[in-house]
Amino acid sequence: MSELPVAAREAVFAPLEGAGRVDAVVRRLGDAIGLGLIGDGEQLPAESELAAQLGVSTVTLREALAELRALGMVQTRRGRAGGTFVGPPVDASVAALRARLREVSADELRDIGDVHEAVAGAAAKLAAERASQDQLERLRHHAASVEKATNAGDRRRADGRFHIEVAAAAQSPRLTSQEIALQSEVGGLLWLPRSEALSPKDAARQHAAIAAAVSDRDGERARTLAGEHVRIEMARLLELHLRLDGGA
Amino acid sequence: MSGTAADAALDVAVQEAAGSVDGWVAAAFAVVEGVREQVLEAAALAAVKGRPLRVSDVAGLDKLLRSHLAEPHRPRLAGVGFIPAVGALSDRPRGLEWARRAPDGTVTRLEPDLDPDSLGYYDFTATDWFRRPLATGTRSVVGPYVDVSGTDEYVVTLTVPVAHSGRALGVCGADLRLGDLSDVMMPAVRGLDGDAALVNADDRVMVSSSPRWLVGSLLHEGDPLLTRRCRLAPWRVVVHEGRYGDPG
Repeated sequence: MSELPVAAREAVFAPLEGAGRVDAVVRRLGDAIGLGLIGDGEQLPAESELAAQLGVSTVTLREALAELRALGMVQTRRGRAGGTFVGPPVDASVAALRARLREVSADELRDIGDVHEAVAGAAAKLAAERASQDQLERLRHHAASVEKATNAGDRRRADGRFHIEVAAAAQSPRLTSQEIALQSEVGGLLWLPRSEALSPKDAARQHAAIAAAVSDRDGERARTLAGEHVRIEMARLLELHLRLDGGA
Repeated sequence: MSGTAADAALDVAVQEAAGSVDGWVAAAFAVVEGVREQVLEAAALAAVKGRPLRVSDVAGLDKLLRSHLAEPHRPRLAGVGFIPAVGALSDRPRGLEWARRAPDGTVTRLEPDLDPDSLGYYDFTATDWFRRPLATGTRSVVGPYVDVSGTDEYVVTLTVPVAHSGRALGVCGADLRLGDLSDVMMPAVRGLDGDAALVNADDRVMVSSSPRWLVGSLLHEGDPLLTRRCRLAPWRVVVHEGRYGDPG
């Protein structure tokens, strides 16, 4: 992975605004770990020191660390060489995706988002007009599968397949090819292990809403919901990108 | 022409259209049956030698498949081949023996992504054209549909089950393009006093003589003036009153 800007790393440990909230700490540290700003196996500063840096109480920090532990982002070792460590390690493909998310430019991300909004929106509208009963059933099934998946890789595939199914239900090979290409391009970034752009629950809820609009044969609602879904994903990707770049 | 004579002319035209489509489906199935014969011969030969079926036993298929895709072979097919059931060939758990004719005329072997962990995974075992013939033991006509991750084309697929000594070996089949189907049917309905379409069991338009109905869309119309079922596929030729663009 290319070298990270110092600012990106410093920002991780800068004081939190509106401090005192556990989820703010979880999100800040979780993103940083997911993005590789704090490396695999790296030891976090001592609790009192980290709490002071973030401007939160040690009680809040401990609660946040417990949550991160439950999420599999950190491990705590006892004893002389003890402390809180980032891990377990992620594989090389994740490192490559992090590099990609850092190196992609904000305007490129926006442009990808524009095309994706156009493709996903048109596909959802046409699917509402054209999907067969079998396809509607498959869409509803795929909408829920992102929440049932047990790891980031499976969530990525489940998410991608839902969108590809929508395009296939639109009966358009070209929209389907475009959707596949877009999923290949952004899917890995959206479902970066430990810094997933959407919670599986939110993704499943948005997919279910799109599938319901398609089932209701309400093309305009399906288009609007699909467009919003893409916008939410892309905004979150932009946020993660800026964090890697040392901003936000 | 009197009303009755016009009706009779329409009736003849619709019958002719359905007949042309049936003739084409019959010819395509004849090709598929020929492929099945060769697979069964290979299976019988392996059985005589007292060993399981291997990839090398069906390697000879390629020449036959390519001959069916070479111009000016009719019916013109988008692809043809043998899809072994998982484990049917002892030395390759998954794989396709499928030749494809691209729209530009190039003939290639279809080599889809068969890695279940990949977004582009071609899970043919989950498709209707694979499952139905094996479940029912009879021919199947599926589509039109976007063949996601396979050919990525919008096709109709005809398949037959292949079994030897009570063991399912897979399916043999052919892909058809709607443009070729249109060439077959249109001469019968061109110039009719009414808009004609070929629709599948979902009422999805496969061929249309009028801009009134887009191919791939669902037919939302009242009772047709005339309708005739095809015998060899779950399709119907329908004619609706009036012609697109005519006043009133």
